[in-house]
Amino acid sequence: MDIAGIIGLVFKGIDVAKEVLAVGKDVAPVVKNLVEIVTGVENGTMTDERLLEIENELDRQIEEFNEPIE
Amino acid sequence: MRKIILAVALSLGLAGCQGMSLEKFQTLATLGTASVANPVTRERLAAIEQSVTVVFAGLNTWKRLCVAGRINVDCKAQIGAVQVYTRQIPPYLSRLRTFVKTNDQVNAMVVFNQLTDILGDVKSMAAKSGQQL
Repeated sequence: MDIAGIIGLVFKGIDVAKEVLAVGKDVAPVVKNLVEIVTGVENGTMTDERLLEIENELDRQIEEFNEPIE
Repeated sequence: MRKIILAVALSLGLAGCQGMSLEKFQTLATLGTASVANPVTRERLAAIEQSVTVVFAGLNTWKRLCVAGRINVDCKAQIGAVQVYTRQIPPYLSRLRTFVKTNDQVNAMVVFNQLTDILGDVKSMAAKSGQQL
């Protein structure tokens, strides 16, 4: 493979790495929320508003994935 | 004699696990099972929804990378195959929410266990395409 091809692959790799890092950022708040919920389970506290927020986020994620892929 | 009993017990246990994928095991380990002793409370419902959100965040990233053409060309067909299962989830989720909020634990347990099965299938299908969720 020529040098230009290798450089192209390196740049593609960097782009994918960026995407993966972005996902890490997306998932981090979810993990934080999970910790909050586990604490909530221990304390027996889960407000209607918080539950609705969690449900809406899940519905949004499911809807996005279920849309037909072009 | 003890060895025979142990061998029979082990083989029976393994027979019960036949047909269950690693992903189904993982789903059960994450979400647990619903039973009279382990009901689906509002807090547990929230924890379940968050766990499923993490799974879908992973699926959406896979889909975005696929649409952007950054991964294998057959990813669209693979995602289409997973969508067959994910499209079954919303009605089950809706019923589960209603049953938990009305404290109908009998139906909540049934729907929870059905939902866990579908999620196991989703994760198995994604794993076959190289996506560990």
